[in-house]
Amino acid sequence: MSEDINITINDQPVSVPKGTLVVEAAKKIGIEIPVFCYHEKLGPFGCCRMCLVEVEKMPKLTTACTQTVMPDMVVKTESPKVIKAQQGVLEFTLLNHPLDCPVCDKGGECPLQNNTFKYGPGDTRMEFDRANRDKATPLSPVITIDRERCIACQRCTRYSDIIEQESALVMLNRGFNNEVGTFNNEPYDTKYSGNVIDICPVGALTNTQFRFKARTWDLDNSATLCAHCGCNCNMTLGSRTNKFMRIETRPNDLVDDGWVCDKARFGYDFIESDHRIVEATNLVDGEYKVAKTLEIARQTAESLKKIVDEYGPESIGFIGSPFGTNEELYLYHKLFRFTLGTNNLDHKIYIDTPGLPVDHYDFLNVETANLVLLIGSDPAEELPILDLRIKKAITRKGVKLAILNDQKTELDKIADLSLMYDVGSDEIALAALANSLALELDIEMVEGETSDESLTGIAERRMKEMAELVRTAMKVCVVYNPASLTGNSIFMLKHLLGVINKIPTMECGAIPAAPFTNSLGAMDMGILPDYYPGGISSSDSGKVDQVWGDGSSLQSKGLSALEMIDKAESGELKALLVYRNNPVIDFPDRKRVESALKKLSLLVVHDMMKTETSVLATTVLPSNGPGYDEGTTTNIGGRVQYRKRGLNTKNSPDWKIISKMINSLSEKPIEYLTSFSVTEELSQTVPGYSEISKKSIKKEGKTREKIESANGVVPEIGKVESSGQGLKLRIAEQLFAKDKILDASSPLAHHFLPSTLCLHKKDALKLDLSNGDQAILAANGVEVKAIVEVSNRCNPGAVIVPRVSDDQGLLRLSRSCSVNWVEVKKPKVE
Amino acid sequence: MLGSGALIVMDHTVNIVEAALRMSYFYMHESCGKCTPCREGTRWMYQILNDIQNGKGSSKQVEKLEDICDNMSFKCFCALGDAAVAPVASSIMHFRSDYDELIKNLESDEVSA
Amino acid sequence: MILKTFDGVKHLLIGLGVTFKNLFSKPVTFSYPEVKRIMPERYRGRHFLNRDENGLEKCIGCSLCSINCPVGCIHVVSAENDPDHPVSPGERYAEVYEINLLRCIYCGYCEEACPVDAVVLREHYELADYDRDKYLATKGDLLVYPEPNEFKVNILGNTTRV
Repeated sequence: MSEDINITINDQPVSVPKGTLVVEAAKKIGIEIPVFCYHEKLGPFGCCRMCLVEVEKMPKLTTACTQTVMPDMVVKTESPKVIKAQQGVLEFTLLNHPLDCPVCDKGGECPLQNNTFKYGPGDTRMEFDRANRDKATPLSPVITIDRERCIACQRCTRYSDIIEQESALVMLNRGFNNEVGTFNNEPYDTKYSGNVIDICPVGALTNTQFRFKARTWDLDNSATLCAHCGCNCNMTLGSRTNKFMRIETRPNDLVDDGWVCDKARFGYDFIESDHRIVEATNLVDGEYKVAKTLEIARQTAESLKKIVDEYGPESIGFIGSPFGTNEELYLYHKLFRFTLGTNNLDHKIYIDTPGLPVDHYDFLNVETANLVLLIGSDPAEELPILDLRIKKAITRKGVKLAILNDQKTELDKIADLSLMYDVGSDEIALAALANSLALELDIEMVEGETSDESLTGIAERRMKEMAELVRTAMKVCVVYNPASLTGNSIFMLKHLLGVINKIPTMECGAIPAAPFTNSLGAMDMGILPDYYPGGISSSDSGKVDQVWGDGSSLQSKGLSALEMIDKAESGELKALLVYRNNPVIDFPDRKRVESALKKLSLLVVHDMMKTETSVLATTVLPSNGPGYDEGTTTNIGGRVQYRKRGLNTKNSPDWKIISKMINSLSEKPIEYLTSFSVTEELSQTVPGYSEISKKSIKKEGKTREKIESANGVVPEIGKVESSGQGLKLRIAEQLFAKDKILDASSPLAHHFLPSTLCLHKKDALKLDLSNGDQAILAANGVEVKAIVEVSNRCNPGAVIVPRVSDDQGLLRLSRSCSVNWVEVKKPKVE
Repeated sequence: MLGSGALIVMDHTVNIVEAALRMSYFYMHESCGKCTPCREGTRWMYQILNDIQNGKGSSKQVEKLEDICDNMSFKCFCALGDAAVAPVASSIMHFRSDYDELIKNLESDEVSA
Repeated sequence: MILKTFDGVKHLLIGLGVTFKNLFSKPVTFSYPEVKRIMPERYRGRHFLNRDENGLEKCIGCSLCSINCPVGCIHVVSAENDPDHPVSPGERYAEVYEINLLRCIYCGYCEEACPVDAVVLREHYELADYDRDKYLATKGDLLVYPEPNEFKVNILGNTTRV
């Protein structure tokens, strides 16, 4: 694309790359060509005929949205011929449009309204009754279609076809009777269906939740971020009189490409939920007493200090959250590391370390790579917008896709190579791939037998194919989900990344695609037992002292979240502060977690929703959470963006509560004015965040500098737990799961699935179970009911259970974050 | 010339407006509905011709019909839109008197009233 | 001198002429609380919301009055009509319709903007009260006329009541 082509539009010269459309070239010099059917993400189509322009030496008018630039082209967009055509086309478009603008939800932000004002004939010559079609018809529980208003621009059907690639929405019928609909009138309920509301240039596709609630000009829009997954898509939260109204996309090509998933658009009911924690309470004599939040924060800090003085700093712990903002987590790190002097900080149950041995890739690199290697990740359920980006890269940018996973995912359909390893054998599978690459490079290999098919379920030949695919690619983007890896596999994965990086002329980068909002930020902010912020190992006391001042490094090794529960069980841990986490549900073995938490003398829960953990707390602090809070978050691509406040609240912001705790204990209190004061401080102290400031992250955010990982030695393969009865359990993430965020009253409730377990054919035969049977998963003395689905979603010897709700209590079945065994049996017949 | 690129020979007993109406009905039915001028224009032309044929027309409508033809021709996605224009436009061009005859009765009624 | 005197008397008589003329004409003043002035047809007094011939509210809750209001004294919250028990003829109706009469400047822009002729400024000019809270006119205060109002547009394009 080095060649630039010079063209003239309305006597203004412009130089654009070859292949640019005239409409885009005009946009570049500020000339507007009206369009309806053209959308920059959907490509040329040319059906609305609104963008007709005159090109010299062309016999008739041409559509600017389909015409690519040609050398020395002379385009006129305002000639009498063009104006006549625009008026004519608009008259046709409006011929059977109902003109119910005062009632229409699109009124005020409607391209048809705008174009009619600017280019329209001003009057209609239609003397017949306008055609009547179906008014408000539900297309799905969240989208309502008004077929009368549709101008048949086919943006929505093309979106369904090109972007989400479901081809769920289609044009039905022919000629004047054509209309948007679905096959057999089935509901249009894909994961990304809501985007058609934004791209509809008229009010035909409307948000059922927002219908008739407010006029668009009455909304207070705040440019905020989605807080559901690690993509951190940009969105606009519209509110009126401090009431939540709607979510719209806010295109940012570096992150979301202009789309958001349905969970982002319709899954924001929780911000006005009754289950929110709105006031601070203290357990006094078995009764919760309400008090001032900041006063309770001070008391909490003092009681934590008391326990530290009495039992030592190892007796307290902090379980943070991958959902908090960088500022909040940074302040908690300060409180626990420097004010209270403990390393017991963690935010997760799996094992992960900050930093990568290769480049940290972002979303754009998915498109520019030659090969995307997905490891243990299911973007469709975990990170939907990354899923769209991968689909775009594979189908439209010619990128290859290789998948190494323990379950079948939606992307397998378009993958060049998809290998499925046995559940729990991820470490060996990764080692096998690393070894077959290392063999050719003649570098150090992982010891032990890795190529045997019986170990991983992948034949050596197939693994060689994968290695060949990786080796021949010029640029590899590895997307891995640390949360789906078992045990210490993450070290093997980082070894694999290192090996790929050693291939000559290879560009390699990775996206650590953990499915939580800010898990990268949580690691960067040092909410880890063994790492300070910026990936500085706590054992590296010299470096710690250098960054944080002398005496900052702590001698003790911190406890991980699961170890903290162990210590609480044994009585060694006296106090625990849980910040926006729900260990009772999200940690393995609920009974033990509950009994451990009950043994604590102080359990502080700082959360935004009432949870099973907050019920056990001695002190509850309110957290504002998405919608009300503000701060920065770091997405999986390392982009730091600002999450703006959408609604106002009387409650103190989280950073104020935490800084109150710090200030009430320290001699030199630091008063922060806004969340940006914290951002400013952390940009000075956290390595990698030095360029993050209010200004630099303003619109599109800023990528934080890469954090180096400790140059590790070649890891050894851990012992394979072959002992165990029954099948290996793999809990799969589900996008629309019934949890604290999406409850039964959510508009997305129709997406909730019943409790299901996926078995391989062989196992099903052995257990004498067939599709649709009721079965019971049993382990740890706990039984979970599920419906059997016999599929080849996993290799034999395992059972995949999607986590469909909190009530399902799936994690009760597991004991640790490595391999867990469950028994699948038939329910007893009574 | 009448029809899409073809020559249709009719004798003098044929009502030209009715023939144009029949052909515009064909094109309305045949339009795929992808592009706006063809989808909306063919139907509108049919509606107007239907009015004229049924004695409800006016000379203004014939002028409007000519303008619709102008708005449609060479502005559609495919040639069906252009073809739909041809019979109507050429029938007005060559047989305007037939249209006027159908309209005359009505307008004289209006003047007397 | 004589000319000057003549001039003075002439002007005195002209002046007195007006006085004497009005002595026999009907007075323009009237005893106000007992007698009410009949206001011109297009007088812009207090606001009212209209109903249509079926007794439904005309207002469709489009908020165009509120966005056009130069002082921002109108607050509209709309909601969807229940098809079985419609409040207004369209798909939407105004759930809340409030006008702050103290802030209002009676410019009539709301009336101009209304696409369905729902809000009108009528001839009511007695707006004094002792209680500030009473100036917040809600839907109940505005929907007091049960009969539909008919309108016509005159040659200047102005809407007038029939």
